[in-house]
Amino acid sequence: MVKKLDLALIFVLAWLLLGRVLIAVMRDRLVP
Amino acid sequence: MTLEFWTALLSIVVIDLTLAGDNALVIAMAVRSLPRERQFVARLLGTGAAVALRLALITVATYLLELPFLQAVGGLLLVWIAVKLVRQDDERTHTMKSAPATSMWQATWIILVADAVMSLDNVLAVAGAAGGELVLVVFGIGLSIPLVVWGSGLLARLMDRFMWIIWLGGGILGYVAVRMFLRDAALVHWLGEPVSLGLERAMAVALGALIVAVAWWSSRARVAARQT
Repeated sequence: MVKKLDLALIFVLAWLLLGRVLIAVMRDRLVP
Repeated sequence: MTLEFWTALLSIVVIDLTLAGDNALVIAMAVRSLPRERQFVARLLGTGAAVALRLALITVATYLLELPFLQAVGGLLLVWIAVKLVRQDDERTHTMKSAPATSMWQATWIILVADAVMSLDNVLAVAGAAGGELVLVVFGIGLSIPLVVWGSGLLARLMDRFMWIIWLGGGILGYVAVRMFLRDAALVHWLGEPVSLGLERAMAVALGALIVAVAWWSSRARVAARQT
């Protein structure tokens, strides 16, 4: 069974990863 | 209220909420050695400081990025903060000693400096998506405040449980530091040509990994010291 703590962990990791990907994409687009 | 406005609004909100993860991470790392009852106040202070700072930076983003060596110095500063945060002794959870090494003001100060540097990396993305609509930026950042306060608490709790999130956080700071350092306009001018994207990524990942290794090694050394 997936515990609450595991869900929280997956959530924050996805959040941080999404942030990094977003910045990489935006920056590469804005600053060639 | 055109379609264009709503599209800009939506992208700004998504970007701000996503980038709030960076704020939450830095705040969680800085407050984790405080006693639990003071962590909440430190998180509020840190979030307020981070939000005010990001707003200020966004209004002057384009000028800031042209200041010679600002990004290079910011990158170096971020490496120092990353190492400091991952090596911070967690007295509160691991030993019986009270009086943690960090004070509330120290924690707020670290949050402020780290966020200033991290924001330099982020503001371009935000400013670009807003297309000069400052109202949108302010709205998006305002929306992210509760998320940062809540997210930093969640991260701090997870860091107590899973040591490796702290190492990962340090790694992210190191990764950002290299990218910022190498993209400094004055440094690129001095080098003659910009570092290729592939090399930049490789170096960023390498420093990130190095900080993770430092964190792992220092926590191992601490465990060993406690056992003797």
